[in-house]
Amino acid sequence: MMTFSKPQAEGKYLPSGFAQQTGISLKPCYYEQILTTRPKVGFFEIHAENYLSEGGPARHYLEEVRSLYDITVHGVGLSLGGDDTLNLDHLERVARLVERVQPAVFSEHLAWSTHQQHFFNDLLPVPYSEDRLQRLCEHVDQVQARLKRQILIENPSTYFEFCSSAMEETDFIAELVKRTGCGLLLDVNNVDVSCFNHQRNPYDYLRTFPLQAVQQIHLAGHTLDEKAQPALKIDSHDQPVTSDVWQLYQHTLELMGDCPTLIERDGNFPELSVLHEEAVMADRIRALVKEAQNAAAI
Amino acid sequence: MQQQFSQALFSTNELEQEDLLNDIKGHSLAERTQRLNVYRNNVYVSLMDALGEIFPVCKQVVGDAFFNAMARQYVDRHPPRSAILSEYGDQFSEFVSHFFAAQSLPYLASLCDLEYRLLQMTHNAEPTHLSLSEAQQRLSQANNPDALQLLLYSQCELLSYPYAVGQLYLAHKQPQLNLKQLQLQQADHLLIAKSGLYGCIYPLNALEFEFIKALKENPSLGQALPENESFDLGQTLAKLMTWEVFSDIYES
Repeated sequence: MMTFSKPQAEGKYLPSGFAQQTGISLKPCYYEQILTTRPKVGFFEIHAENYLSEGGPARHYLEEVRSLYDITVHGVGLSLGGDDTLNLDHLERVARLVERVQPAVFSEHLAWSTHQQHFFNDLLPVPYSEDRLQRLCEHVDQVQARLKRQILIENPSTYFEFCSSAMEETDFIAELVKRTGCGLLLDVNNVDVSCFNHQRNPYDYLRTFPLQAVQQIHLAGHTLDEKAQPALKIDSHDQPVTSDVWQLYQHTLELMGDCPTLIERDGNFPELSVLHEEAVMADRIRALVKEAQNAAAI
Repeated sequence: MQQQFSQALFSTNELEQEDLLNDIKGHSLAERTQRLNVYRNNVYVSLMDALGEIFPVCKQVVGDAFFNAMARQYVDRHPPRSAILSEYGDQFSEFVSHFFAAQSLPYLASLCDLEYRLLQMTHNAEPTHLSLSEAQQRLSQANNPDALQLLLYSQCELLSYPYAVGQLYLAHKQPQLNLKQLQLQQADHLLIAKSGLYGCIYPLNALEFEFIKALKENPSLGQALPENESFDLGQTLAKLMTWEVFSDIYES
């Protein structure tokens, strides 16, 4: 196992807003408003694959926003859970982005999205087996070695479970952390979505999740497909965070302590102020939990 | 497993899905199929949406239902080979040219070709170029026009289409869409280049096109001039300077 220091937010940019205040997804429809109004959020998160071009508005506005805020980079295309070897050209482009942006954290998914050079643009599930774990660990090691930093891996939202899985998802993730030294990105909405879809208790899931490795939390909205039998929650990222997820978030912080948090939105974009309000809500919960924990410690 | 999964995503044939479906937890085949279908739906819808963002004018021209039918077949035949979706669709124009239901819209493939090239131009690095005032100064200082070398930056592209798809594209980008005066059957000569951060279309007449093509091959002004009295050199140079597509101007 390689060892990595935690990502540092120091350097030529602002002191870490990442740790202090909740962040928001960076999307083109918000570029101008962010630069004009400079909302009080801790950081902005980008999808790596949207910022790999050599020029154009994405690269330009990222540089502008980076000069004002911390950035986190979230990869959606490395296919770490894939059978195939990693696409080295793609990894190289991602590595150059990370070198340029110096994000507070780089995260990716416990999923696969590419097979035999075909990219499916979705985060597809893996069975929780020893050979799959070994392959995933090799890929995480490879990415950490190239990026020269610890990366965070996000728990998936899933719509089915494999009969061939030999271990629980939380055990699989804990073993991944142990073998690679990676950190974790806990997507609380994914916990809610997956547990609902598999008739599991999300609070039980959190009790067995390796929370000590979590360095970032994602909050997002989902949709409910009531026509499905059984009904399924879809991880759509195009709705406000639900009350169930807010409650689960508070419970998570009570279990693990404060954690940098992102309001993640990928579609049906509202006014920036709406996402900002959700970020303020997350900060309020963080403050309440900290207060309660400080009071309990006295 | 991933081979089976990949096949199942692009197939509605139950036999091809059988191995994967047998590995999915669920009380019935219907439930297992429904769970798998969430992924299939995500894959198709997200890729069709991506194509809609890459070819917005084509989508506007043919309407959502027609476009999505075309896009779905394209996703089937040409799934992306890269996770960078802004590069997806490089074969869409060729595909559209053979799409049976689009035969009554013979200009559609050219429109898609133009849209794809424009998007790639947008994502290109911003080129080093002479500003309008720099270009004007260089020209004003020239003593011998025959010795002038006019260099266009290499990324700017000359395009020629059998239909007026440049005009069609520009008309769709206007706040008030007015297609009545558009003569789609006319050939279109275009220069696409970077304007600030974005790829931009500049319509040309046939003589301007010939002149710029010659300049791209050999930057000597004297050799690039068309032998045609109706060619307006002053106006063409003024346009090229305004569009800021010169990378250098000097006397040899």
